[in-house]
Amino acid sequence: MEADTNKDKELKEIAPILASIPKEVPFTVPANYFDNLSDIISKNVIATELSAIPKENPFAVPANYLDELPEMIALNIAATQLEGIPKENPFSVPANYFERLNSEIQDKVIASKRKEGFDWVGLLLKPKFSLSLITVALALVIIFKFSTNHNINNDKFAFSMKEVVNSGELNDIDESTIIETLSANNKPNSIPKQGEIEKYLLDNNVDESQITGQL
Amino acid sequence: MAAEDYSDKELLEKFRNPETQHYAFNLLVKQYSKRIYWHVRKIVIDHDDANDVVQNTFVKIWKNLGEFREDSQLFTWIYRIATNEALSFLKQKKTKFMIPFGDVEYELSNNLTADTHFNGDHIQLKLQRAVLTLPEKQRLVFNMKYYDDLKYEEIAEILKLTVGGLKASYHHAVKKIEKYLLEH
Repeated sequence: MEADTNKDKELKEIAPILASIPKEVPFTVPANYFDNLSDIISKNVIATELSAIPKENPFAVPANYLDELPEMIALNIAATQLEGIPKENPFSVPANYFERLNSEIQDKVIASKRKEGFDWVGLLLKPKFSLSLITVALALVIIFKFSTNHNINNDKFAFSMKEVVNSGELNDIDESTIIETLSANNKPNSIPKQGEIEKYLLDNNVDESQITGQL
Repeated sequence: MAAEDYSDKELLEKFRNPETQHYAFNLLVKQYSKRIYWHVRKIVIDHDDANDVVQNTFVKIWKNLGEFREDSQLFTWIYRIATNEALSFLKQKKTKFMIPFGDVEYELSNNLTADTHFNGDHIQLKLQRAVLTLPEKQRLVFNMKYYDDLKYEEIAEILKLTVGGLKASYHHAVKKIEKYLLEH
């Protein structure tokens, strides 16, 4: 107390204005600041202790786990989304499809086995091949027929003179013409006399066309 | 039990025991937090800044209390840490905001009127502005002597100065403040 009184005296002597001002601290603090200050300081201290601990990760993961993790997450998300979609089959088939399917498969199996030997039937069924074959066959037929007709026409020549003679056509042909024709064909020795023309033509197989050509 | 119920020695023994370490520290905080806060507040002026400095101070106490050599009182050791933290804070503020040396106090003085946690009248405002015109060391001495009523021996321990030098500093500080109050 005495010391305080001395201090006040000393202050009044050297600084009277200062000594007259109330010794108050003019600052304030937020409400409950000091009530919470101890807790705040303790938390700070704990945080400081934690920060002093080396930040090493004591945990390990399987090899490539982190590299594959994004993909696994994406798959899981996709699976979750798929779960929300009803499992319905949106496709349909023609009527009695499955009933017929078995027999169709069997047929195809058999058909495939045929292909192992030469498939003549299949070949014949091909339009191009069959068309070519038909064309060749027709050509052969035409050639054959043509050659047959030619022989028949030669025989006609053999009978035609007889027919000419029998039909009396010779009567229409001038005898001098017939004789000239025969002479031109170098048959002088046997030039028939008139009246013997018919017999001569028949006996000597004279080509009718030589005579008829003069008409 | 409160911290004041333990001697410095007992409190330190409890702190050095891992089982009672946190208990002892909590007692220390409860005993000194308010006092340290006002000491720091008078240096940095702003409440939020003071709060930051107080937090840093006690974290530092926690880290170093185990190595306290007991060559001074625990209280003066704590005060020294708080003072150094407050002065470091002001130095960082000068560097951060590129404020010229000595102009920080001018900035603090200007902030007094805008401070929501200042409820002094015009006389108190004038006094605070007067104190902020003092050189750093004189301001500390004045605050610890005038407001905290510490003994010169204790202030000497805190600031690592001689008692005689402190008395002279205080005397000069008082004179300057008186002159300021007279002229403004």
